[in-house]
Amino acid sequence: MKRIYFLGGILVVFLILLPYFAGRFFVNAAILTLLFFSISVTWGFMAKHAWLVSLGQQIFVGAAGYTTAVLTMYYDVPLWLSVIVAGFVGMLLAGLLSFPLLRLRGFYFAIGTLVTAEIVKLLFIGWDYVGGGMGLIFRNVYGISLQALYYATVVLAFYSIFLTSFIYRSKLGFGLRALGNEEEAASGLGVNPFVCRSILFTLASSVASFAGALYAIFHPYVEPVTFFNINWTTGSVFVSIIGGVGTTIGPLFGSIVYVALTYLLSEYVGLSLLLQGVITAAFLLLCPVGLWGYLRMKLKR
Amino acid sequence: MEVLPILNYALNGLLLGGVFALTALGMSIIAGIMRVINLAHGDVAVLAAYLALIVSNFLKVDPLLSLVVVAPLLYVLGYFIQKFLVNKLIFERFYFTALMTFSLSIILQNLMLLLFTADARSLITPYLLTNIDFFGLTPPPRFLIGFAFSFAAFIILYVFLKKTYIGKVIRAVPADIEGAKMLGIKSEDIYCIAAGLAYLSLAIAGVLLGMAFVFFPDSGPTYLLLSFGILVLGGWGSIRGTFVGGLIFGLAMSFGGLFFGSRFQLVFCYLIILIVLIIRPRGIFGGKI
Repeated sequence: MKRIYFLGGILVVFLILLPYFAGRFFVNAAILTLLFFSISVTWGFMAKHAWLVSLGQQIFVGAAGYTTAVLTMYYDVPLWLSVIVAGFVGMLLAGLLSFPLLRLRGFYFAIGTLVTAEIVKLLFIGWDYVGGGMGLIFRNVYGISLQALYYATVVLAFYSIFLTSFIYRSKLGFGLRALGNEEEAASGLGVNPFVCRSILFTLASSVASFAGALYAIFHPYVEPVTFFNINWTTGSVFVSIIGGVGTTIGPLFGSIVYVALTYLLSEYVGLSLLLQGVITAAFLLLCPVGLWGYLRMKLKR
Repeated sequence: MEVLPILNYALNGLLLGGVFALTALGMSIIAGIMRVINLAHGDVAVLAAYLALIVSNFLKVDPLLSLVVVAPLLYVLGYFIQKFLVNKLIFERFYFTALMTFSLSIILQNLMLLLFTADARSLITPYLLTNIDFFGLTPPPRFLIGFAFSFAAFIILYVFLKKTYIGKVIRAVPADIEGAKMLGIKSEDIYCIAAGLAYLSLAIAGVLLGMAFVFFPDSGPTYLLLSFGILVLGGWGSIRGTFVGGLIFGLAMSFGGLFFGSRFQLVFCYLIILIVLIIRPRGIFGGKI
């Protein structure tokens, strides 16, 4: 146990000092890594503990990204305040969407989220207030330093770690695990399946929302194709599977591999996605516990 | 509004619905027999259209005739994908299967993008562009041919599953997997055959869709959502339900286009899917295969 705290401490110091010794390129890569890490931690948590495979987390990324841009550009709200507000708007949206979506289970939930994401994307493309298919050019962020953005993503990453470990230990976590084992019995003992899953979905989606809000600063051209791209989901799936679904450390490996792969093959987008698909399939068949799960098994022996 | 244009919209919708129904049939078979949804479903249909394009260009034959090559090819593809990729995970936690088929979808889409570029393709042939005028009714020939083939495929598959020995075995597995095992039926093998049949029906549907619309490497997800909508309307694994669901969906699409314009046509269809999912998660005609 002491060793884990020690390694965690080193990691924290490393993350805080990174902008002082690494170049712009690596800070950029680190921001992307941490964004995907945060989304994947919560995505994997939902998949493992509540069997909620969401294929529509890009809804929250996009909605929060647009909220940040619109609040700052149209209403002169201070940038960081609008990031916070955007996170809450994403949570509100997740709470509302959980009413129709969480009536669905398993594959139905997966495709329900996919359909919703498609609807939301088409609506934003047709919505002239936010620039339609052209999107918004987010000029207000040109003065923001890369370091500030980097530290914000570090905060987000720790928020997602604390959120998942907090949920895991809370009453909600027990309820979710009970529902996973024996739904009928658990709901007979007073665990409300809908309320449990709805709270989880809302809290987990807050991470995707904050990630979207920060991504709007990172990539200050807010348009539907990037922000409602299914890559947010395929990326999370990839990161979770090769790292280990529902673990905390695993997605760190996963997101580093993911970002390295996208940077190396940035000129061949199709090839990069193809490789991601092949690697995910291979891990599912050969090593379904992921890199971290495999390493942990080896270490225990 | 006059009656005749409305009738034409309805006719178009029904004919198109027949093609859509065949697109959904493969998903319905897999869902009914293995309780699994293939998230690469739409991409397989698009793959079939591209293969038909290659074969018909290479052999200089009609796209429909190219099915003689493409359909068996997809049967084999479905059989082996099921055998080597899906069967290993199907008795594990459900999200493994979901993610496996999701990865397959990503693989197929990007493979097609690399091989065939992002240009729009179509399987249109001259005879599909002739005009038919039957007392004021003007069904486009591409939809008419699509409907005829789709209907024939439905009848053949229905008879196959109801009357032949192998069809009865396929239906026995989901009904009682333990009982089937006791009679010496290996459910894994049956899953492979069922997946092969699903891909075969999808090959026909893909070619018919390719004759009706242009397609791109990333057209798959649209077909996936469309098939899923029909499955939701028609119920898991019900062949008759799938056909009726397809017709309803075609009508909805046709009138959605009429009332909301082509821009929000798809939004309208997706909304129907969501609403039906929420009201009747097991489908309107939910029943047995």
